[in-house]
Formats: sequence, C-alpha cells, structure tokens
Amino acid sequence: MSKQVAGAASLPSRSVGSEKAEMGDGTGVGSTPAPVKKKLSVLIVDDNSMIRTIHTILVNRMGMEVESQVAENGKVAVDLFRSGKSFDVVLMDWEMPVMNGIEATKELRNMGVSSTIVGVTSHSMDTEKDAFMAAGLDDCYGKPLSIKILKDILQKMKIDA
Amino acid sequence: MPAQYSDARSEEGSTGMPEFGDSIDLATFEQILEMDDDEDEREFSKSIVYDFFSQAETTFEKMDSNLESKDLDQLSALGHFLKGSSATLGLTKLKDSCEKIQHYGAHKDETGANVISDDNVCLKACGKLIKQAKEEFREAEKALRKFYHDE
Repeated sequence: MSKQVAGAASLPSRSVGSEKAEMGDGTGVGSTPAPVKKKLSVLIVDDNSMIRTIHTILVNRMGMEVESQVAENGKVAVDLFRSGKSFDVVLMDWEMPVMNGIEATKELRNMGVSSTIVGVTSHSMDTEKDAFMAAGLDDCYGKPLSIKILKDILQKMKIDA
Repeated sequence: MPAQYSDARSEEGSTGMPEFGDSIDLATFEQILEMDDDEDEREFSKSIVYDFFSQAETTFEKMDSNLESKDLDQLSALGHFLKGSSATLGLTKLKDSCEKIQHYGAHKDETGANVISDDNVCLKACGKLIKQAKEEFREAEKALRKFYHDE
C-alpha cells in the first residue's frame, strides 16, 4: 500500500511549498552548527469537524514542536498552498464536498507540491485505496489515525517524533 | 483489549473499561479514550461522544425529511456525513448502514459497485437502512451512556 517517500534518507529537502528548518548559527571558522530544530507543520483536510478536532489533538500530542491547520475540503487545502502556505504533512480525507481528496491530491502534485500527503479514509476496499494512492499519496490509512500511525508517518520522513 | 476491567468510577466519570458487544469496536473507541487527560472524568471523550449523539439525532431527522421529499442526493450526503463520525468512534454497524445509505442515495447498490437507476428501489432501500441505522445508534448510545454513567 505505501510507497517510498522521495528523499526520505534525511530531513526532507522540499521544493514548492516546503517549510524550511530553523537554522542555528553555523557561521565562523571552526564553529559547530547548532542542531537543526524542525517545527513540523501539518494540514488536516476533512469535511467532518469531529475528525478535524480529533486529528488536531493527536497531532499536537506527538511530543514534538508542531503546528497544525485545518481545511474542510480539498479546495480549501489547495487554495492554502496557492496562497503560499506550506506544510510538511497533509492528512487528506477522501470524500469531501467541493473537491475530494483524490482531486485535491492530483492538483497539489500538479502544482509541484512535494509535501508528504497521507490519505485518511473510511473506505475499506483495497481497490478503493489503490485509486486514492494513484492520485499521488505517499501512504493511506483508515480512520481514525492513532498516535502510533502518526509516528510511523514521521518515521518514514526520518524526523524523530 | 485491556487485561483487567475495573468497576471503579468517579461520581461523574466512566465505569472503567467498557464491554460493548459488537455495536462498538473497542480498539477504535479506545483511541478516543486515550485522549482523555483524566481517566475517571473522561471529559474530552465524553464531549466528543455526546456531541455525536446530537449530531446523529439531527442527521436522522434530516434523513426522514429527505426520504419524505425523495431527495436521494441529500440522503447520500447525510449517509456519508454520519458514516465518518461513526467510524471515528468505532460504531462499526452504524457506519456500515450509513455507508449503504450513502451508496443507495448515489444510485448504487449497497456495495457501491453497481448502478441502480430506479429511484424507487433506492428510496425503499434507504428507508429500511435508516430504520436499521436508528436501531444500531440506539444500541450504541445505550452502551455509551452506561459507560459514562448516564443511563
């Protein structure tokens, strides 16, 4: 089901829409650069307010510096990226009004967005999940997500949670 | 599944780990319970569950109304909406019924794989499934109210 995330061997070097890590003072001869502290940004895309609430709480409890934002459908998510916002991880629901998860994922990938996009769906059939994956997801899980799954997602990004 | 079941409870809190039978998937529901800061009061999970109760009641009213007005599109949307919340709480039987309502509302069979063009067939199926979903909701609601000491 899952596919390798591009550039997963180290902290991801993202192109369009990527969040840059805060850098310590690495200048000066012989100086040791301060450790990179990465603030994880997560976009939670779901038309169900309960799920947005639960996933926001889960994300905020992951034990690392994290900021999250929500979008109630795929179009809102795409518009956020178009406006210049960037996110390391997008948790993308499938079935949403206005623009669903498949359409939004395709649109984001066409825009050159290289964020990790994880599908979150109540669809249980493998053929359905395959169709969602084919849109450009990095992985796909059933609802609701758990802390363990979120940590697995980060592990694949090679960021310590 | 927890090894021990405790009957200890706070005055207003839950009754220990639940036994829900087949109306609620415990593994899924426990993920919601894990978000509670206080295992006795369970303020967060209780607020989510009780919000769901209100959400479900309102949705069923809308389903009845849209069944009356034969609006299959709306029935599909309502089925989808309640399916998501049900799945999140582990209410698997209710989730399955809602998914079927969603499919019939979209002129598909209960699996969602085959098209059904006859509106009347779809409406009749929706009617039966709404009744079934209400029963499944009541069963889960009773178990959850008992868990939160609110019988």
